[in-house]
Amino acid sequence: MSRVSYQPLEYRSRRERLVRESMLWGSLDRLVRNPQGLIGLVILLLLVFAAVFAPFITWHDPNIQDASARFLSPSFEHPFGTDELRRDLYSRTIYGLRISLLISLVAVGVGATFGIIAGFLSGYFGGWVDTVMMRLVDALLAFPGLLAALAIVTILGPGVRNVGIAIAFFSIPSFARLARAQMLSERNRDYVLAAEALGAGAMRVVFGHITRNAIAPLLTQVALFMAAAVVLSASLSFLGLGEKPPDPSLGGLVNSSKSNLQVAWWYAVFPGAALAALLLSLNLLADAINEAINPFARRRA
Amino acid sequence: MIGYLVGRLVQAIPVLFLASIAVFLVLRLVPGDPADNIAGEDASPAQVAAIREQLGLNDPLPVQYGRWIGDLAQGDLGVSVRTGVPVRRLLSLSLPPTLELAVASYVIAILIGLPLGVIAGVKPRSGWDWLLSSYTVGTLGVPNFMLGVLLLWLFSVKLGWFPVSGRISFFDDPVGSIRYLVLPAFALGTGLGAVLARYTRTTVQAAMGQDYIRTARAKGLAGHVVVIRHALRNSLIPVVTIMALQVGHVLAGTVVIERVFTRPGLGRLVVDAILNRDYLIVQSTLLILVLIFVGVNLVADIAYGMLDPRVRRR
Repeated sequence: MSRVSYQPLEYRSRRERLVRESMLWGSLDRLVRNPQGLIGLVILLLLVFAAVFAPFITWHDPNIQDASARFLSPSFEHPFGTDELRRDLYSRTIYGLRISLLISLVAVGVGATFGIIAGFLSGYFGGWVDTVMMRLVDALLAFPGLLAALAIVTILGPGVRNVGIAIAFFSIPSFARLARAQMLSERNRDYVLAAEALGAGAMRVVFGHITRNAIAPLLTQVALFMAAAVVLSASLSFLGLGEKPPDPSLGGLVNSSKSNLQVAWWYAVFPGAALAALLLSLNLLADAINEAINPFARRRA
Repeated sequence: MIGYLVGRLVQAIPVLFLASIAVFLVLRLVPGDPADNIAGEDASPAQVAAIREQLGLNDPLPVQYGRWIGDLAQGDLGVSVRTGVPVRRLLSLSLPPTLELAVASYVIAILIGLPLGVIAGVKPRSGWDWLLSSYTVGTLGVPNFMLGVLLLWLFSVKLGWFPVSGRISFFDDPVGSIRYLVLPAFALGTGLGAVLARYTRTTVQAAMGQDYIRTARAKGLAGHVVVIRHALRNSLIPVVTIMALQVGHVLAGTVVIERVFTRPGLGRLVVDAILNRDYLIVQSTLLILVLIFVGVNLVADIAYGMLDPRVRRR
């Protein structure tokens, strides 16, 4: 028998090596090659840019009543028109977008972190911890998101921060459930057994070894939950349980546009369009992430 | 079958129990003393103490919980602390409009979603399939309250075809009631229709590849008979479950849509109660909503078992 010699793979460039060998870079590469993913990413980046640099790309204070008249139709000075209190709707929309993005990012970030940690530990240890945890999750999932959020806002009172807490709280059970399933499928893999055989402690096994392999599929869920969080926070603002006036929010703008539909079509249209763009980009991105990291979801051409 | 039924009922109990505890705790976790809130700012300590005693707030939590559930079982939902109106009366006024809206949304969803899902499932990658995708993407981008505002603007304000706000009971005046229901039901049912269409498409497409479809075709049945009697019938079971799970979202959606169209209902009741800090109403309403949600899912599970003998045996 001849000896088999293994040659290291040769790559044409550093970039190719990264894409081929790293799961993260490979997924990212597939993400931007997918037209859906690229469109979602570009729109989202534009919106994030607008939200981050809001003070530099607007030229009116969102809360100051400085326009020359109420209900001015869109113009160069006021691209999205003005509202019933002579405020610039362009600034209000951009600042509202800022709040929506911030809430969904922070709330889902916090909720996902707690949910994933709880789910991982519950799945890893099993036993009564797991049973109790999952019954708790069942009970929490019995509340549809908005109702759970309503209950939490009842406890904490209306306000942006409390809406964020409500969203974080309601995303915990779903992430816990998913992370647990993910953990169960990794739990008895060879590499886990190997790490355990080498004497690694539970924390090290779970967060050092398994997390690296189990986290990617949860990213799709993060994008989907961010979209859900945007809808939820907009709905709560729409109900008047979100930010305190005069601060703007996308849901709040749509709500106040409702009483002025007869005089100002632009009042509902522009904030609504910003909301739609944000939701669409997040949903497109979620789909594309799913396709990029999950070989089974990849389209067979 | 009896065993399956009992098993499902028993499984629902811990969920309901934990949910009721969660709802119960909502009222207790509110910062500050509820009695202070009720008594108002310039109440004497004696008045506050009297209210505490009256509400039973001095008892240990398990005792309070037991009393609440006991009263609930006897149909006593308590009294609104703001207006003194029994919560039961408020609910009996608010529940019918909300149920009406929820049912109408389901009707709209089924009218749009089922045919679209079936056609797209039978003809994947056709124009219908493309229509389904655009419809789904559209509903993802437009939250129900925004769709509601757009419908309100176009059909009520601009065209004047439908009333702008309000509600008439279906039993008093069916035609008038429907005029008030159409737009809210569309606003809520469109998103639901997209969910329904997507699942129907997937299951019908999977069913169309099965051997029994080939057999049905081979024995010479007409195309529509094959699709409706054979493919659709087998694919409806998971779709029913998914639609039952959506009840929670629909009930939550009514809260928002009632606001858009200024309709009376549970949603208005809850939001006003939150803003007025009238917690007993929130507590009872949330519990009713969870009960409906768990109940509908239980019925769906049982229906599932009746429709599909394979489920029972597991």
